[in-house]
Amino acid sequence: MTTEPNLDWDDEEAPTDVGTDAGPARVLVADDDEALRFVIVSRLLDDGYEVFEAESGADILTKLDVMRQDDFPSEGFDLLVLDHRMPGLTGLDVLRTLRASRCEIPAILMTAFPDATLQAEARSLEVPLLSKPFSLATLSDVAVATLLARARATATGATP
Amino acid sequence: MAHGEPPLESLLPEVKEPLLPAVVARLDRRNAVPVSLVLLVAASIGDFLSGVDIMFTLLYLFPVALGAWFRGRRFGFALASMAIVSGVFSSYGGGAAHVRLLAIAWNQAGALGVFLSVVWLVDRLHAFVEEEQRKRGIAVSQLRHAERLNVIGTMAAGVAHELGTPLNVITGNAELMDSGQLTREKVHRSSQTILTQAARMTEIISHLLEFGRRGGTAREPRDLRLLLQKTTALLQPIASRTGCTIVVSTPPTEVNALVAASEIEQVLANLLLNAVQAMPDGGTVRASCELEHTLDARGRETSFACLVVEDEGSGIRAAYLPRIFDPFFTTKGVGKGTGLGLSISYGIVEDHQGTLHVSSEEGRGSKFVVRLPVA
Repeated sequence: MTTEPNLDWDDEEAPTDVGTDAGPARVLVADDDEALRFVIVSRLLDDGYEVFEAESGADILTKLDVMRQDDFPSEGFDLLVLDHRMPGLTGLDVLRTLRASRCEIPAILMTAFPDATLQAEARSLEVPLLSKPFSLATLSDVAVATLLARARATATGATP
Repeated sequence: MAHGEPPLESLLPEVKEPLLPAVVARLDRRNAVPVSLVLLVAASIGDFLSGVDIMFTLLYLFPVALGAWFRGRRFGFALASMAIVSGVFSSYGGGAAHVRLLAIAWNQAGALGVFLSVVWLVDRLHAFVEEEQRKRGIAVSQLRHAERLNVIGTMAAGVAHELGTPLNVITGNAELMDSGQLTREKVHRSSQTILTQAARMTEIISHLLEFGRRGGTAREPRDLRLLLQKTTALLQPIASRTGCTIVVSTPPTEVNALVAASEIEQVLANLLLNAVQAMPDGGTVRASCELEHTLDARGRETSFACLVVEDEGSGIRAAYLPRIFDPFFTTKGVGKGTGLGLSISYGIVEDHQGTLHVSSEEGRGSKFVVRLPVA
């Protein structure tokens, strides 16, 4: 495992508590492998999130744009769970594009090949890296940790 | 490289050592006869020019022809000994009648001597060449296997990647089932997914194992389309790491060639890997196979089974083109390439009585064409 989740929340605290005031956290899951997307989505739904799916990097960008503009004037997505290797844009490409357009959505990057370059890139983008195969429990933990970290950062005003 | 394989450099002398001149390699006992006859014809011309009776020449051709007919050394030695003994007698005998007869016998002995020496020499050289070829064969096969392992190393990185996702699907489904909250129908769906993903992994692994096996060199008719698809499947993961796509196009009908499948797969893997590595920033590799019909120099139609691998990468500098099939020639960085891939591919294709051609333009990409005999 590349990233140790920061497990410093109370045990009683349900993951859904880290959602926005409007309701459960909204997660966008992107992987070109349908079977893997299915298990991840199932688990996140069980965890109480509102889950959306994307098949490719371009799909993510489209969905994020749509969400931010008209259809969902709320907050858009709270978390992005994306695979690194997808046809067309890679996960890193997507994250770089998002950061370049000042979209600071927290993300979790999945990869089956966490080489040194990828690890360094993920670290510089401050994105946790999950190396496949990972357990769904770990994914849940990392998701909560990532959302909590963002919530805390927003609360202290550290994030623009 | 696997433990126990000799380092590549230690094999270099075996492979680069020039063999005996080709003419010696082609000699054997069968053509010892024509060779000695040529020598005799030369001797006859010498006799004719120096004014010796033509009858002498014809007579000393006789035992040689006889010896050649039997090809037996014992018979040849017996004839030669008789001639030598009669020659010795003639030195002491004297007398005009004997002199003429013994002179003929003497000449015959000389001719037999030439014949037998040539047979003996050719036998020795032939044995030597065979031994050299055997040693070289072993060295070449070790070298090919070592390079194959090198390719597998690269493939394994991609395959590990390829296994990560199905493995994750399996563990994920197991976790979902373990939660105990799934309906009967969902448990069934999860089990089915686990089975299909396990099958997918098995297939990936068996492809890799098959590639790694020390393949035989026996030739049999194989459909190049299948070889191409199998090899491409193994390399696709490593290609997509650098944003490359391998596009395969094959004709609807079989492209059968007489090949040792594992060897041709190795050639293909080398060419595809080179193509991918020529495009570090991504691009498209086009791989195809087809039957090619051309007219040879005499206007007869000949057919080849063709494999083409084309990239849109950096291309090969014109100055390097004549050297790219040389062993240990590489432009890749230290530790990135052995410089053996193309030379080994060239050797394999040549062994198949095929050809391997390259055309390249710097900055535009390269195209490799393998032509193999049709089955």
